[in-house]
Parts: sequence; C-alpha cells; structure tokens
Amino acid sequence: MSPNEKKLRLVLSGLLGVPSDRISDETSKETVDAWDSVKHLNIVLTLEEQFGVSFDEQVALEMENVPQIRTALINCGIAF
Amino acid sequence: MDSTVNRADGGVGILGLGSYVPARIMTNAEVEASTGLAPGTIEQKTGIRQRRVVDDDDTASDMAAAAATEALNHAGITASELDLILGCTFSADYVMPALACKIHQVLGAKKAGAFDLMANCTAFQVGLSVASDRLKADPTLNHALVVGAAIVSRYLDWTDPNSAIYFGDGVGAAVVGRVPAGYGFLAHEVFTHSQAYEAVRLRGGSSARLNAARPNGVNAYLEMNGLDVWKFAAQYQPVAMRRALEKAGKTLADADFFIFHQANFHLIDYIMRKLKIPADKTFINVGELGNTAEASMAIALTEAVRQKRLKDGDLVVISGVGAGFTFGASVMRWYDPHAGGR
Repeated sequence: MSPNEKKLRLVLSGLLGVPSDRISDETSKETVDAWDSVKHLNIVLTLEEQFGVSFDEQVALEMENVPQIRTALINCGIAF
Repeated sequence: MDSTVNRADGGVGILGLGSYVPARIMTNAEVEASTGLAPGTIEQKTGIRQRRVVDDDDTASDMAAAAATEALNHAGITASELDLILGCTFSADYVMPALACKIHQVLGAKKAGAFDLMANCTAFQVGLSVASDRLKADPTLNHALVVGAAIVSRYLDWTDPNSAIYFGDGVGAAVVGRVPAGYGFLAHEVFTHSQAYEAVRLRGGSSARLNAARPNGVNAYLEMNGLDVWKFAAQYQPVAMRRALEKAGKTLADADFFIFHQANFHLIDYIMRKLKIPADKTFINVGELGNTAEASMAIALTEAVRQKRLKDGDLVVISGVGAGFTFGASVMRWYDPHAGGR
C-alpha cells in the first residue's frame, strides 16, 4: 500500500468512524451511514488540507466513493 | 445623503439598513421533539441552535414596516422620499396583491411604485440588483426600499425533519440610493439551474394544487431535499461570486467582507474554507436565527453593520442561493455616510 493510499484511508477512517483496515474501494456514501452531507464537506476540506490540493468545486461534490476520491487526487498530481 | 453626490457621475449603493425578528424563540429541543430527532442532531447537522418564529397575530407587513422604518431612519430619509419599494418574499400577507403594496400603504410612501419579486432565499440580493439597475437607468429615481421578508414557520410541517430543522422568521430591509462616484454597487450576477426546480418547493395553494389549499391539504407545506440544496449551493455559489467579481474587475482576494445566505453554518464554513477566505471576513448568525429565507442576507448585513464589521471603502460581496435554484452575487464598495467627517 502506497503512503498516499495509507493517508487516504486514515483520513476517511477518522472522519467516518470506520477502522482503516475496513476502508476499501467499496467504501462509499451508499455503504457508510455516517457519510452524510455534512461529513462529505469535511472529507473534501480535510483531504485538501492533508494532501495540499484544491479540488474543482464540481469534482469535490461528485467524489462519493474511494475510487472517485483516488482519481480526483491523482488528477491533482498525487501519486498512488 | 451626502449633498455633494453627483447624480450623473455617482454610484448607487446602500444608504440604510434595518431588521426585525419576532420575540418568540423556538429551541432545538422543541423541534427535535416534534420531528423525533435525537437531542443535539440539529446543531450537529446545521449549526443552528435556535430560531425566531412568529405568533399567531404577527403579519409579514407589520414586521416589514418595522424593519423598513429602521432602514429609513438609518438612511436619514422619510417614506415620502421613496421612489420604489421592492418586496422580496413568498410569504406575503396575501397571495396577491404584493407585500410591497401593503408596505407602501403602511409607511405612507405616496410617490413610490411597489411590486414583489420571488427568488426565494436569494431574493434580497436579486432585489438589490433590480433596485440598483432601476436607479441607474432612471435619473429621476433617488431612493428604493428593498425588503426581504419571511414567515416560513407557517409553511412548515413541524414533524418533517427534512424541512423543520432549518427555518426561522424575520425581515430585513435596505434603502438604496445615490452615493459618491466609486462607491456602491459595482456588479451583479444572477443565474438559475432549474434542474433542481423540485428540490425545494411549496405546492399547496398554487394554481397547480389549488385544491390542496392550506392549512391541512396535501402539499400544504414546504418540501425540501437537503442533499440537493447543499450540493448545488456548494458548487454554484462560488461561481456566482467569481462572475460578479470578474464583472467588477476584482477577484476573491480583493474582497474585504462577505455576506452569505444563512442556510446552514456548515455550508458557509465550507464555502469560506474552500475558497480560502479567512473566517473573520464574514458574519454568521444562522446559529441564533436559523435560515430566514428572503430575510437572511438582509438581517446578516444589518447586524454586521450594527457591529461595525464593515468600514467605508470595503469591497463587499453579498451572495445567496434560492429555491429554483437561483444563484446570485453582488459586489459593492461600501459607503458609510458618516465616515471621514461627512
């Protein structure tokens, strides 16, 4: 697991209250009850702070699962 | 008004502000009890701690007259000097005529034209843009009164957690008039994304749902899809702000202060942090008043000015989103008629 993958899972784990070893590509707004609209705003802002990136405003609201978040980070120049 | 203002070369800006909120406080505990939500849920989801709601005998026009009188006094003019009254509301005393006409009657604003506009929670900003444009287009007009009025509580199903947790009642008013060159409104932006037309709606009593008339008919209450609301607001409100600033030849970094529609603390916080705007560049009162719809930006601006958060010459952005969804932003160079010994 790459350092950035580990960082991504730790961020989501902390915000969603899910153990990091249970964060997977299946983790999404649909599968985690705690991933509500307020939590989503926190996820966007925390990822921007932790990875030093700025998501496009539309992309920020559309990344509703781990693969989409990873893709958005890759598009911001973060390597996985 | 400053007697040196040159009508031909000067600008159009805000000369006075006022607001009114009902005395009755409704706590989160009351709303959580009626909606069946766990204690603490509303503040956690919205940042709202309480809201003000009307009593049975309160009317939109009485509240509007109180806010308008304060705005007129603040501007140093009388109602007889008003040329235009704009009512921004969906909760007028009657379905028709316009609330603005009732305000005209109550204030005795004999020479003013009066009409309402509906842009829901962004209506006050849209109203400012219309008033500003009318004064700029017609040099015979000197003063407009823009009133954002909301009695949302009478349209809420207090058992519905999707809508009841957010709203409060109130009115805000601004007197728009002539200011020295370089001050006042620099640009406005208004656009609509109607794919969210159904996301926030009130159908009862409309021409399509006349038989569902209030108080107990089907569709009698405000319906709200919260997820659509915040997604659209978070995505497009920054667009409105940037477009208005660009028209004014400015950027976000040039702005000194921001007034946002007070829908939800987390949404305002998100927009501020996403756009890297320092927290001290805005004023937030949604925690105490809830979402007062058409009144929210007017009340926030009034309270910010009362607390001397704006100073003469500040570049101020006022931005909101309303059901429809209509997004708007206005950019103004703040004019303090009392600054610098004026």
